[in-house]
Amino acid sequence: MFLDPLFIAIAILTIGAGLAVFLSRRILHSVLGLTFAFIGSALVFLYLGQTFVALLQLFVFVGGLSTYLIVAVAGEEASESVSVYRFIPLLVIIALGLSTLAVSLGMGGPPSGNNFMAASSGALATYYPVLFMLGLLLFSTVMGSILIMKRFVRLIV
Amino acid sequence: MALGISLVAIALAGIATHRNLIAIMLGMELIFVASTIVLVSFFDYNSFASSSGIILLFSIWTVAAVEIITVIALYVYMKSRGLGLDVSKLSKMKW
Repeated sequence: MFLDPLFIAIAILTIGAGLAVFLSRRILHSVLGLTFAFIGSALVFLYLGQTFVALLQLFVFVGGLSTYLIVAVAGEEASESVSVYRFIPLLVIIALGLSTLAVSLGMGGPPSGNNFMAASSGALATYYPVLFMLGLLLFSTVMGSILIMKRFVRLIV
Repeated sequence: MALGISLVAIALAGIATHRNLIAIMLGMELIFVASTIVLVSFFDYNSFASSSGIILLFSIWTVAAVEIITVIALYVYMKSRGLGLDVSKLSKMKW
């Protein structure tokens, strides 16, 4: 059984990013590794033909939470950080590589089995209390985080 | 599926060998990533997939998001208080 080279590339990216989380010395680099693991998982979803799930993963985790995490950690490490300009060529190369991978996946991936969103269309109406509880969990976490931050602000002001 | 299991193995090894609180929580985040990969791949290749899979996926995503928010709050708070991130030196649940 031969694996698709495209899938092997995505798997290497994801596993390499997972290893980078623990092998890097600085927390900022670990967070960047986690971000690439999120991107790798979104590419896996795209490879499986689950486009909507891949987009959600990209928007919520890479676009939202990873940016939040990077800004928080980079802000704390600002005093010891080096110039960001030397990373720009690397980031451009990575962005181009990932875009090429995503476009090639969108153009000719393997045929998808079950469509996740189509099969789950009735579930949102059935399980809405669960979704309500999940929203409440997120809300209470954000409130708790704000309280901790407020205590921190009171300490430094 | 093998990719997800490999990610879980990497995360478990990292959690077991690190004492840094943030590294441990990032490892747990990796486990969440692996679980979403396993869930979606299982759904994709399973002919009797249930419609409640999306709820499970949303649950995993919510817990992962909650964990990231907690990581940031803890990281900023501990750095600001001058507390180390070494979990072996933390002996109290309340500061």
